[in-house]
Amino acid sequence: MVGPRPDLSARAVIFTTLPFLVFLGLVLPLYWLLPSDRWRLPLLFVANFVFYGWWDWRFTGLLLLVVAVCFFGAHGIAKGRNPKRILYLCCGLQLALLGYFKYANFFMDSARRAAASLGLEPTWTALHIILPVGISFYIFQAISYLVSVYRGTVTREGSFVKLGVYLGFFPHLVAGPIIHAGTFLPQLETKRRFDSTVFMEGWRKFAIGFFYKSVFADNLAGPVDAIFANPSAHTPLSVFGGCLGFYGQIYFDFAGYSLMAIGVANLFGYFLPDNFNHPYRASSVVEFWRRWHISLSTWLRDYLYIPLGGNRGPKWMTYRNLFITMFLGGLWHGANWNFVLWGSLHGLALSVNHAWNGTAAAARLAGHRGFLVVAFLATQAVVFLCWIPFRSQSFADTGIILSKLAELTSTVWQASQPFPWLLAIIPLLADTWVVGGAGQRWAVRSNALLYTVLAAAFLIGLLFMHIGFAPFIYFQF
Amino acid sequence: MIVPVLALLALTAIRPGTRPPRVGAAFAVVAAIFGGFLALRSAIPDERLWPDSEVARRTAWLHKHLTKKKDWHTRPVVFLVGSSATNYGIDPELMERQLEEKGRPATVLSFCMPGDNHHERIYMLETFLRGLKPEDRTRLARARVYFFGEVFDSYDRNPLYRMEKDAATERAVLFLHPANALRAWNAYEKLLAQDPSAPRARMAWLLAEHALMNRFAVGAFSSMRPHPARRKRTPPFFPLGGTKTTFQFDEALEAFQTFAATETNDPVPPPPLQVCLEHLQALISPYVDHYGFYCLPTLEASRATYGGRFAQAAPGGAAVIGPVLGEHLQPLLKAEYWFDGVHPTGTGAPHFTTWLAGEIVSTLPSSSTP
Repeated sequence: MVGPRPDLSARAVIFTTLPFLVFLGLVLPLYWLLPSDRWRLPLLFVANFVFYGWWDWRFTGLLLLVVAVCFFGAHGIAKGRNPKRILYLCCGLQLALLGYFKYANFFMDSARRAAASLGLEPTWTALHIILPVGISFYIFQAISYLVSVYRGTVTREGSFVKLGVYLGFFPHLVAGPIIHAGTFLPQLETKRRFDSTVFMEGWRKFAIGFFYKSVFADNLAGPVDAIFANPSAHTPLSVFGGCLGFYGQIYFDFAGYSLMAIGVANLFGYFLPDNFNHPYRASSVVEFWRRWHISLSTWLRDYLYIPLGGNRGPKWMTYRNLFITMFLGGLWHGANWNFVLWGSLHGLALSVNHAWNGTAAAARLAGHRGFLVVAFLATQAVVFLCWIPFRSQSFADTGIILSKLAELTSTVWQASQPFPWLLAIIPLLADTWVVGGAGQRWAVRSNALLYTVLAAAFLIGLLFMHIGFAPFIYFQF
Repeated sequence: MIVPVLALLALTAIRPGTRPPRVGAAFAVVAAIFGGFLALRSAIPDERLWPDSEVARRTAWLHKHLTKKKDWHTRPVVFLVGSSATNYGIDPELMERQLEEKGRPATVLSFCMPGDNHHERIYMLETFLRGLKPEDRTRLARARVYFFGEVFDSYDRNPLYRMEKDAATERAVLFLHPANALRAWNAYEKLLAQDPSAPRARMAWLLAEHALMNRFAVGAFSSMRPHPARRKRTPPFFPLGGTKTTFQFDEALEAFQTFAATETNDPVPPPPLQVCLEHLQALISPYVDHYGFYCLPTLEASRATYGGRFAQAAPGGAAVIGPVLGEHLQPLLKAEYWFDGVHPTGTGAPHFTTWLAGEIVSTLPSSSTP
């Protein structure tokens, strides 16, 4: 990996650790014991910085700077004579922070390699930069706020504390969901009243996220890491297992984190939008991106794809805009050419998907059951294959894995190491086809059963969870 | 596998009833279920919950090895309790053959795992003793048992040496049951008294967190993944192949021979070790007749110096084997014998074992019948 990695030695920012539960156990009762939002919001403001500072207190200054730029920038946009210039200045500053912390070494390294390939001997070396956890998320959110104020879709927030609560709200601070200002800021204007239904719903979502992350994703991480660490040492079947494992791991990891974040927000009486909607049910790449990391897809659509022209021009411009959006979306995931390849492949797939949608054959086959099955399989195959460069350590490894997969049909089906096939398959099938399918219509309504299931589920989760420190995959982005 | 999937399905299907849920009632149910679980958990030994853990697999091997012969209790039993140096360097079965050749037949049990500190060793001994059948435990108490503890400066000085590195691993969750976590903290307090700069709150937190994880059996069934050595008994000796790539034998030897020891005021044995030994003694005193220590050959001068000082001030006047210096070390000074400055290779291990077997024979009291 070329890009800098965050130092995740402090575990307070991980929802599945005891330090976080202690933090929550202190902040949550105090929050609800306070009589009004006059006191609660400052508490949340401070709690956000304590939460972030637990990881590395030095970066609380960075978060404060982002909030301050937004606060004064929005003031300038709303009241100033040249709002466009202020918007560009503020967004440029935010992007410069992101560029420095996340991409400086990547571009320096890429330039050094390019110079070396031309026979030059560059003397510059990598900078020692620690990547602040979640920087991509809160910078994107800050940009969305400034643009929304500029467009007039959101009123400028006059309270520094409220803006700090919005931008730094600890449940979603380090890995999203990215919330539009219009979704969250109005919630800060009305007093939060304790609602036991919302509170219990928060715990339920947290428990589901806990299962996704600690039981399914983390238990898959070990075998998957072992295979991706040295793919050439494994048989095609094991490499396929590793890819299948990662296909499930990344979903459970990120969807689990998002659900826990939404659940924790519910505990405080706030609502965050859903970030995942069973993406592995998608039968087109377009549909996949409507179900996967919804808050990022929406952000990219609103602040990149549409400003680029969206689908308002000739078809080739739509495809170009899609490609550029996904290319940059790939780069957003990390300072690494593998992520760029992943984004580009998705951009290409989306363009092909849009082109297909415009054909007569697509209109003729729409709704045909057999075609839906083929479309589903083709979509998931594309998604599956695209995860390979996303997870691989290098282009070379991506090539090795793809060549191993190509050998699957011609070699003896023998695994080079034990692999948890059932763990890689059953939870994913259960979640995608039972929970995401017929399960959405099921509901057993009983308070006593709810309490019992919640308690038993947490206990089962503890027994089956992976022991060890496993940071969320998306913390690095 | 099926249990967590069913729990997930239950979680997704269940919704609040027609009346608003009561948070107080929810917490009461959670407390009752968790409390019931803790009560049930306290009745289940760790080796049942984690049958594939390293300690469970090793103690299973030791049980079988001890009771292999029907008249095992008529022969002396030697406990070797140490670190990775013993695990990689001393072959207990070879040592048994050599003791027999020297006319002192004994059963040798090695309680050594790489990286384990004193309280992990106590945990392994506890697990071993608990797993013995009651009649075997009585026989062991009647047999002549010799305890030999390895002298190793890092573990002796810091009872939580490597703890932060091993935090949140299965082994740390296992050995830090509340009683052992408390014992470890007692020993660590001695270190804090000596060195106030040692982390206090961080270590207290780690111990408390692990004790809690142990009680809730966190991760006991996370081995949904296939374990490479499922339910296999693991022998306590692992010969190391080849030399560590970063280790230069000639340089290490030169540094060892030219090392000039400086006088230090560090007390030997270190106070934390004394506390650890008290904990150990409380556990094994019903079984052990004779206590001794051994310093394995080393090319790390500071460790050898510590061994020398330890030999002069051994607790309770116990016998100390080693450290090996001068002409005694000469036969072991071959590059192919050393993995690094502390651990022997598979080629060196038999020579280390032979040396220790010889020293143990000369240390044992002449009468070794029960």
